[in-house]
Amino acid sequence: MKISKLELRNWRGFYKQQEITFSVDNRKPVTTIIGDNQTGKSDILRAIHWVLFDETPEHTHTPQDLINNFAEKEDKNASAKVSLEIITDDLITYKITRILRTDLDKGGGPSEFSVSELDHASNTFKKKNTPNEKQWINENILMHHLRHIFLFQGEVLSKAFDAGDSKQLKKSIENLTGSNYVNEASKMIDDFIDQKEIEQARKQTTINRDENLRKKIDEWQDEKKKILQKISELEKDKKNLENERVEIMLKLRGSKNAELAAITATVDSLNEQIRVSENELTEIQENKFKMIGEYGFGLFTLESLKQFASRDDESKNQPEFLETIGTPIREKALQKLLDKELCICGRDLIDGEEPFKKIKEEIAKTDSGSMATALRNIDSLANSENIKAEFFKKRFPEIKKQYSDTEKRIEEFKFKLADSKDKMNALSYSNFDERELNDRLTKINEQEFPPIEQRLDEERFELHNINQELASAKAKTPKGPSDIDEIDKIIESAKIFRKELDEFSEDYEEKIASDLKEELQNLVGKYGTKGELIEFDQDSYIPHLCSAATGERNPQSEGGANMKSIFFGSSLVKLAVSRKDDDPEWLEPGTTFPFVCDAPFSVLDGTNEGNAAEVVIGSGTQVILLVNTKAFMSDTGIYKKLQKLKKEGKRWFLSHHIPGKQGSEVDSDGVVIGKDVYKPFVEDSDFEGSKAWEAKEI
Amino acid sequence: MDISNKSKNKILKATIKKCKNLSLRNDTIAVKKEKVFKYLNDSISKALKGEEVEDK
Repeated sequence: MKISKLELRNWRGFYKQQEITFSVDNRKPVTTIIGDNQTGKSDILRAIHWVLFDETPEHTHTPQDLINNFAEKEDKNASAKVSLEIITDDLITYKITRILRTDLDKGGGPSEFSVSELDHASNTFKKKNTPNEKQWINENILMHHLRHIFLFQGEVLSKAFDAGDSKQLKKSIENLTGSNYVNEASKMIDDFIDQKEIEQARKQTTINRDENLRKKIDEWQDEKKKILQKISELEKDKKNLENERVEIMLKLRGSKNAELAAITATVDSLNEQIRVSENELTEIQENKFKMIGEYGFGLFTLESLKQFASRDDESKNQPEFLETIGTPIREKALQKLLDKELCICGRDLIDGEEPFKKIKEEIAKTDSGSMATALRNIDSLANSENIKAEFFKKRFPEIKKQYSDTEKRIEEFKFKLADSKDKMNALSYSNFDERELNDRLTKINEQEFPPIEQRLDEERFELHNINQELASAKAKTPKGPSDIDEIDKIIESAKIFRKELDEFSEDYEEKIASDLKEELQNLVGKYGTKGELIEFDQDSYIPHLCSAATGERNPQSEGGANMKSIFFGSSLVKLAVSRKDDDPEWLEPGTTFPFVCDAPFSVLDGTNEGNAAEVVIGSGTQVILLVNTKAFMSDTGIYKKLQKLKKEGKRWFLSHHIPGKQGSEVDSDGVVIGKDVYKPFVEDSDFEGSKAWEAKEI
Repeated sequence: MDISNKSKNKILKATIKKCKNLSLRNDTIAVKKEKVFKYLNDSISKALKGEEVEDK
């Protein structure tokens, strides 16, 4: 990280807008700012301190009077403003600005902080959102704890040494090297492992529970399978019984009835035919008997007539039954015609006319005595009986045959009826036994079905219970696979990480102390009293110079506290920015903030000045060296060292105009830089306060 | 699968940086742990699967 520019406006001794540009060339890492006492050297360091942390370092004179007094006299609303341009290691250029509207000693409010970032495309700065300025500075620019190391004022460290503030020093060193964060990360990983192990234990418990649950589920599944098997068998049995029952019912109802109905119809028909035939037979029989009777009576009558006709004794009376034979009907009918005088053809019968006469003659013919009548009757009777006898002889065989046929037919019908009745019986009792079927049906319904139904109910109830248990258990078991293996691996990996950090940290602090001590010892050996030793207070980093011979502390040796603080400060900076080849890759590079050094060169003798400058320049980072004019004279150690090292990129000269002494000559030879000689207060102008002049080396 | 050296360095570096930044923000221990633990868990998990690890 490098500081490329500092802009000051009405900041303490710097009146109006002034800017100082710094060398950012790696080959020329040192910018020297030269100025007499009271010309504003330390204000440059303070300005950097203030813009970053909103505070001025300890030992700052009038720390609440930051706005240039002359500017305030000109304009009571004058404000102080400092802008610091910084180029990060990632080549981002930030412009950090702080403005103070009213001095704190006049009841001013807080300063205004802002950060903008250089947009390389447009070459303009664009404001960044930095809601927490302290956090942003800490994370991106310089940690607060390290401010006194990189914004170096010899006095601060000297006082820390004197005060024995080992805690502050230790913290600074830890922050500087990042070892505290390594330790913190190590502890954090430790806690992480603890947490994961707890999580693992919990998971294991859950897994055990789940395993038990799974076992239980398996058992229930087996049980369920068995129950389902039982249910299946029972249902099969039940189905068989139902089928059998249906079969029986069908036998008992549908099929038998159909067959029986047909036979019954046949029987009914036969019965009817028999009845009709028997009626016919009865009728024939009656006719036959009537015919026989009539025929017999006729024969008797004829025989009687023959006997009468062939009687030898004329006196014999005719058979009594002949006397009762009917009245002569013909004569009566003719007589009725004559009486009515109307013929049956509708013509009138007129007495005297022919038809009338003929009828009279006919009546007369028939009008005989009782004998004639009897004979006529006998003859008529004999003829009639004879006709009947003839008819009987002819008809009787037919009736006999008819009777016989009817009898035969009836016999046939009866035979058929008997056969049908046999079939009916056969249907009812021969092919299957209805009673047996009914018995079987009863047994099925009353004895075999109920136990099956009951067992089915029991098994189904059991199945329901198991299903509920299973559902509950399944809901409790995790859906996916357990991630305990992953947790194991995470813990294993974290332990490897921790081990690596632990191994690193184990001797890292010792290593830091050793490196720091070695660096300090080198410096003491090179620039201090020969043989003098650097020792740290026990368990701290407070350095002491000790006599090699006696081991006694010698605080005044070779510049005493001032040199010691310069050695210490620059060694720390060197330690922070250096990376060892054997440092692990994960170790962040140390802080690389520029070393702004306002060392008390003026109080050192010439040799120590030069040595101090050499030490500071060798810190390995960008150096901003604030040097007293007197110490930078051409014959001083600093001048010689800088000339010798030839590392300067820029030189600045600060002049100071004391109010009321405009144009005053200053009793100074001035500083020769290149072809120019710079003297304070040389110009006759209205300028009051400090002014920074760039003094480029040619 | 073992974590690659590259992933390991990345995770350690990011963890240290997180610890540093969270400390600088004066976050509480609980917040620190929550954030660092989450990062460790996620990044180690990813690294174990051979996935690219984030360094933030």
